[in-house]
Amino acid sequence: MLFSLFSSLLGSAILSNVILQGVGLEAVLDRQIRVKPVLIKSTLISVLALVVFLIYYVLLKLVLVPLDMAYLSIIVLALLMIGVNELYNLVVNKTKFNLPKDELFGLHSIIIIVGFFGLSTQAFDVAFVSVLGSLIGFIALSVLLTMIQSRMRVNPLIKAFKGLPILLIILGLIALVLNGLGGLF
Amino acid sequence: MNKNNLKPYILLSILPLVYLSNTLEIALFMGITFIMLAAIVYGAGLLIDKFSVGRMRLYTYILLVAVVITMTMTILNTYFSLNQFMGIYLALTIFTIPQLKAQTSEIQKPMDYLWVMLISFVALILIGFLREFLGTGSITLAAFGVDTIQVFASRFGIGILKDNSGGFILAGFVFAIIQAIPFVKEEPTNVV
Repeated sequence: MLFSLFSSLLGSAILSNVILQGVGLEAVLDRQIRVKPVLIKSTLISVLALVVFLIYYVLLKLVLVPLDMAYLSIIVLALLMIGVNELYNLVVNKTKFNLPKDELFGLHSIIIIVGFFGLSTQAFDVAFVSVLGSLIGFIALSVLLTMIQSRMRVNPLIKAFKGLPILLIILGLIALVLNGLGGLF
Repeated sequence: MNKNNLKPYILLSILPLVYLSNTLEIALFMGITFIMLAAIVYGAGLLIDKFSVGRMRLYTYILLVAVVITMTMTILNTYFSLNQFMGIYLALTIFTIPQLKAQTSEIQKPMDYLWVMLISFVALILIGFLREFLGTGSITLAAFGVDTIQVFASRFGIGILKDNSGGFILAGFVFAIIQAIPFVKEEPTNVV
C-alpha cells in the first residue's frame, strides 16, 4: 500500500505537474537566481494552494454538486483565492517570521488551477494524493528552473531568446524527459 | 508607451493557452474568446480604475473575470463540446490583465491594450497552426466549415508538437521571434 501511495505521488509529481501544464510560471519568472528564496516562495504557494483545494473540495462535494450549482466553481475559486490572500497578509503582519511580504502573494495561478483538478469525479483520497504530488512537482521544478536560470546568466545567449523563450524551450525538453519517465507509473 | 516594452505582457497573456491550443481550430476558438473577454475586462476596467484603488481594485477585477468566464462558458457549453479546462485556462489568461496593470502604470492608452490583444491573438493562431500543420501534415477547421486539407503524409509529421512538450518548445521559438521583431524603430543610444 505504501508503495502504491509513493508511486501515485511520484506519478502526480512527474505527469500532473502544474508547471508542465503552463501554469505557475510567473512564480519562476522573477529575476531570482538563489535557490532558497524560490524554495520558500514555491512551498508557501503550495501550502496556500493546498488550503484552497481542501476548502474547495468540501464546498464542491457538500454544497455545489448537491445544489446542482457546479457551474459556479470558478466564482467560488476566485472568492477562495481572495480570502486566502487576505489570510496570508494577516498572518504575515501578525507573525515575526521572515515571509515574503508581497501584498498579492495569494493570487498565483497555481492556486486556482489546483482547485480545479477534475475534482468533481474523484474520491477525496485520490484527489488529495494527486494535488499533493503535483504541488511537490511544482516545488521541485521551480527549484530546478531557478538553478538552470542561474547557470544561463553566465552563458552566451541570443538576445531574443533571453527570458521566457529559452525557459519555455527548456521546460519543453524537461517535459519530454518526464513524459518518457511517465511510462513507469 | 513604447510598443517594444509591451512584449513581455503579450507573451505572458497567452502563456496558459499554449498548453491547450494544439490545433488551429482550438487556437482560433480560444483566440476569439480571449479577444472578446479581454475587451470586456478592459472596458469594465476603466470604471473599476475610476472607483477603486489598491488591493480592492484587483479583487474587483478578479471577481469580474470569474463572473464573465462563468457566463461565457455556460453559453459556449450549450453549443460546443469544450475541454473542461478551457474555462479555467481562459480565466488564468484574463487574470493576467489586472495583475499586469497593477505592476505597471505605463500602459494607459486604449491603443496599447488593442495592440497587446491583437499580437497575442496572432501569436496564438501561429502556435496552433504550426502545432497542427507540422505535427500532422494537415489542417482541419470543421467548426468553421473547412474540411481537412492534407499537405503531407502524417507519418512525416513531428509527433511531439501535439504533446505539451512540443508546444512549449515551439512557443519558445515563436516568442523569440516576437522578441526579435522591433515594433518601433529605436535610435541607438550612446552609453559611453
